[in-house]
Amino acid sequence: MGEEPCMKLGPFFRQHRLDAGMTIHQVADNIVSDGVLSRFERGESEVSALTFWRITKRLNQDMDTLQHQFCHLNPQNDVVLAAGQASQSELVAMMRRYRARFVKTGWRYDDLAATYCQALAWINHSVPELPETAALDRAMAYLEQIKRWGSFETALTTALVPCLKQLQLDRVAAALTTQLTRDAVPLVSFGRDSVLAQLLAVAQTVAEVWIESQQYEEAANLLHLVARFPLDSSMALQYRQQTLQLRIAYHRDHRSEYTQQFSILANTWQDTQYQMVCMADQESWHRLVRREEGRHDD
Amino acid sequence: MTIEKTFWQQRRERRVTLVSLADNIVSESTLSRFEQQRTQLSAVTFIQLIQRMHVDWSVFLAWRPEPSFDQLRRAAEKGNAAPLHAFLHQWSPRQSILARWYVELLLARFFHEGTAELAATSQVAMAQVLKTDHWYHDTLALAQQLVHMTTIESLPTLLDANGHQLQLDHYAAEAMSTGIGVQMEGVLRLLRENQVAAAQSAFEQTTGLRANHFEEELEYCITRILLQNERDGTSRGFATVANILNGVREMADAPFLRAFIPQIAPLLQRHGFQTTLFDAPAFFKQYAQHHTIC
Repeated sequence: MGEEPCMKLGPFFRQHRLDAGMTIHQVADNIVSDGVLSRFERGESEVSALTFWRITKRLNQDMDTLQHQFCHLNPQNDVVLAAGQASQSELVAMMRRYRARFVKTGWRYDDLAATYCQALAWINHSVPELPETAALDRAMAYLEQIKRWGSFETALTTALVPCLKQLQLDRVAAALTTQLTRDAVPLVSFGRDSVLAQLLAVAQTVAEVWIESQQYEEAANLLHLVARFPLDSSMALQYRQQTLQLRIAYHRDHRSEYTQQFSILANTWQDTQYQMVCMADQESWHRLVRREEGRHDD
Repeated sequence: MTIEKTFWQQRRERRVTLVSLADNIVSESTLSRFEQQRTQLSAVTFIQLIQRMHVDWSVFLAWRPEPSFDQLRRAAEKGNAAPLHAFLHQWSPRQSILARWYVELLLARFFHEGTAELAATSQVAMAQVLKTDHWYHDTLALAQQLVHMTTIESLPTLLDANGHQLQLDHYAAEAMSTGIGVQMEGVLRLLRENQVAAAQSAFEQTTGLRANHFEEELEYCITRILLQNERDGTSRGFATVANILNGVREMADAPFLRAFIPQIAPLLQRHGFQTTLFDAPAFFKQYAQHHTIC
């Protein structure tokens, strides 16, 4: 915690100012002197937090994008990024390190980071144990406590969903619904890596888990909520939405054209680096058909 | 609301104590006085603190560029020029000149507007892009349009610079995908102009890189197949192309298709692309008519 960033803030700001094609004077005008800004950019002096936000606004760039870029250049301070880049054994080591530090300091984000790493490691089969129920409950309580989820809370939820039992999943779904109904639906497109895009993706994952456990009504309601957003902002969201809705449609009415449509969609990824998506989706469709045939026979 | 007040609210919502948050970054008393607006914190310290309690930067600047570059591009891809005209109307010299060039390039590419000034705009925009050491968002967005609008003679230089940026390892996921997409669209334009060797070398600059998003991954796969066919005089891999296009048709991803199909249709037709999955000529006609590529 608290390490000095590798990419200092001043030089980072300078690169983004040049990326936006703006001069020092354009950015500094009426906020700070040109000389102060120039020294900040060279890493020779500091500016206050307030000044930083004011000059950053002048760049007219999206704050989430700027933050992602800064974290990408300083991944050591960001558990989500560090875990994303870690090998399986590194992930397990991270989990143990965070857990040990939590025991020592009681810092709740070490607890959440350990649970996050363990959930990822469990999904990838590098540890056999799910996070403990108590740890999952602490994470759920945290999520329910945060009014407006940011990138950390959505990443945490994404990792936790596959590990949750029925009751916990219902709690997550309720919290997600609150997040998705809090603000007005944007009329225009949103970023593919934005918090909103991630929230919608988690909601789709919850719907998928529900479909697998044959809770079709709940899944349909959640997908209905997702469908209010302009999903053509992201092909990933659009693809997932359609394939999930087809599963529900097939459950309601066993038409062969649904199978055909599903197979067209899944085959998109057949010869791409996302062929895992194709295989997993085809398998899940076969499971669905077998289940439905069984139900029919009953 | 002041940043101090927002900071205090975020800390309280997370039930984080002053002492545990301040630990090793700043003294507890300084942090307390900051929250009471009795002292300032440096930007570096502030960012370390909000990172520690996982608060996003955007919380302190509840503002977004409206419209953003991405929104302007999506509007153009959907055939809606109104937001672009509105942007130019309100633009002032206090703002970035890049944004102005960007919108002018979009208008020229998608609506054939301002084509008289296009050569001059492309030239200054190219000079700006090439002199920028690290592309992030705005420069990359400009390059994304220049790939279509700059002269064919200068295209290999642009792609070489873009390929160099991709290798610098400074891009987060979204920028990496965008950069790969830029390179693929440049390769496709070179192929349409029969510059196979230049296309091949531009393509090779993405070796070892992977797109993080579906859109660019599909562009990459189709471009790789078309390049192979142009280079070897073959017509291979069309089953894969057909599967991809059929899937995207089914997804009805119209903005993607409107931007992408005109770039590949001439190459596919040249190699006698056929499929039993869908009516290819009608499909190309539907999406190729929205704009022509120069």
